[in-house]
Amino acid sequence: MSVEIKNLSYIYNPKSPFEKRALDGVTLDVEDGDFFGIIGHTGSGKSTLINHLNALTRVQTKPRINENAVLNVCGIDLTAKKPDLKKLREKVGMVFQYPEYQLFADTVAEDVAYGAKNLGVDKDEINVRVHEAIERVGLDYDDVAMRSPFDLSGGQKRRVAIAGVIVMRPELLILDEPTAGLDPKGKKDILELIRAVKRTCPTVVMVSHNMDEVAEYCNKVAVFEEGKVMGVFTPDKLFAERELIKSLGLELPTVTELAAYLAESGVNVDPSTLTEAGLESQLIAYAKNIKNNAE
Amino acid sequence: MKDISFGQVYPVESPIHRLDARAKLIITITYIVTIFFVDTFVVYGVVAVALLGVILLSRVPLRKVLSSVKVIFFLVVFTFVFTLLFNRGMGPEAEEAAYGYYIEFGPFVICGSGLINAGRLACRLFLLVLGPSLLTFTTTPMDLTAAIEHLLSPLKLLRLPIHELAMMMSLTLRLIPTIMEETEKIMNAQKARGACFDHGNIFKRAAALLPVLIPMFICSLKRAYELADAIDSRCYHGAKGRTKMKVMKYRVPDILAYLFSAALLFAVLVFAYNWWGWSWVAEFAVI
Ligand SMILES: Nc1ncnc2c1ncn2[C@@H]1O[C@H](COP(=O)(O)OP(=O)(O)OP(=O)(O)O)[C@@H](O)[C@H]1O
Ligand SMILES: [Mg+2]
Repeated sequence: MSVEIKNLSYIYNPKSPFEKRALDGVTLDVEDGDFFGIIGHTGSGKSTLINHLNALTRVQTKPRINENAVLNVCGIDLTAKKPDLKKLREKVGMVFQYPEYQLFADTVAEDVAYGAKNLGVDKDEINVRVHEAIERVGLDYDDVAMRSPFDLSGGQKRRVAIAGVIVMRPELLILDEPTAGLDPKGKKDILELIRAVKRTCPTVVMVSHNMDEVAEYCNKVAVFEEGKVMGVFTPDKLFAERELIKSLGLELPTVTELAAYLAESGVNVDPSTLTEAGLESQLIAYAKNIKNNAE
Repeated sequence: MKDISFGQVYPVESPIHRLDARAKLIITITYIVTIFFVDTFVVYGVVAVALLGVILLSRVPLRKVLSSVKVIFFLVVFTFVFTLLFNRGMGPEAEEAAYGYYIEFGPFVICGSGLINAGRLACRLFLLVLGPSLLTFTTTPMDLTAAIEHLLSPLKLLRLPIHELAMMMSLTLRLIPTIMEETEKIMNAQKARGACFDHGNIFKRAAALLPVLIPMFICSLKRAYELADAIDSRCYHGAKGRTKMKVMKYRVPDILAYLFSAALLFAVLVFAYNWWGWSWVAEFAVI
């Protein structure tokens, strides 16, 4: 199991007028090989949770909470006083919201190499990894490697930032809204890229606001609401629970919405279709059927 | 990074929070002046009690206010120790006679007057920090800048750009928390890439900060440009013809507060100079 969380709570600014319970007894498991989605409203505690997975936020003990909390990431117990942070950060790659703000070096290659250097990887190996990481995020090494990261476009910057994380060859990749602020094509590109990366980094956790993305890419989805997990579902189960979706103020994926509308108007498609490809094949089958009947 | 208690408003409703920012500013200045006239422990006690009353009235927890002393704690300890060790008082014989001890070792001396002076200095420093920190706990930076602008506005006659200075100051104050938040985000991002900011010697640490500082600069510059655009697009053109959304107006509590602070200053002056030669004042204020 990649991530095991039990009863985890977190309070910002405890015992002050700014007190805010951001996590409230969170329990979830991420299995090896999952593409795990986390959805929920703004301020529901998603970022707080994933910051725990990388020990950027430590398990809180001060106002007596978390006494029986479990937080186990890639075999490292993070409730311990001094977990091996270096090993943890080698295993867990983290891409933040708007990761392009982390760029700093003179050249793209140098920036991507930063993480590997920090891990103490030797020089030749770094070069191999940097080359591989830049190509893997869909950029042309010869074209960009020696350019300044600040001269790139927004989407390219984001790719470089992601390359800077996968260069560490993590076992678990965490992404906080990787597609925020991109145009539809840019979104799709980044997601396809993540899917491609997933072949080498087996487990992915992705925070998202976009139901289309979650339906299309994730195999499990956790729904957050005010610091609590409302449940972990497979996408088809989740989006079949129309009541829950509505009560949480979430939306259906566009495809599902369309499929439901078509089904209601008498077209023979499954109203809980989740992927574009799925709907497409059903519509083709439907069209063929009509054609056959007509003949 | 998050518990810098100096300069953060403690958001509760209280008579002190509601006072006019100008009144609070002037009273704080008066208070600082008052402290410099105090030279005996008894009167320090009087001032401390008055301050305690104000703190209780402000409903900011006492612990919170006291924690702002942390910033200068070492300064206080330093001054105390140095004054104690280097103050020779009235000389060996007189000290021996007055306090019964005069201990000399090497260049250092411990004597009665030295101890008393060191104690007074420490009291003075503590009280000096507590007053202004209560001001920042109960007044937003925005109100404070508005008050400063108002109080300095006579200088406009000398063609000093007071309004612009106040605007710059409020923008700066406004951006401090934002920039701190940003710094933390970027530090986190680099930590996640295996950076380590608390290892190695000072040069190594400084070098490790580079990946944080560069993005910070870029962000700040970008924000400055955006801010300038935002200000322009709202037709901001400086002080001329500009009215205030929150018009500052003195009310009864403000007057009472002024009177209270004047009374405190007066009492302290009476203790310090004893103009009327009252014997009880003289007795009261020996140490
Ligand atoms: N540094 C902080 N100090 C105080 N409160 C915070 C801090 N960071 C987050 N919070 C609060 O904790 C709650 C959870 O925040 P979090 O960032 O985890 O939300 P989120 O689910 O990631 O939201 P979003 O979708 O907008 O990214 C919010 O109510 C937020 O106001
Ligand atoms: Mg977030």
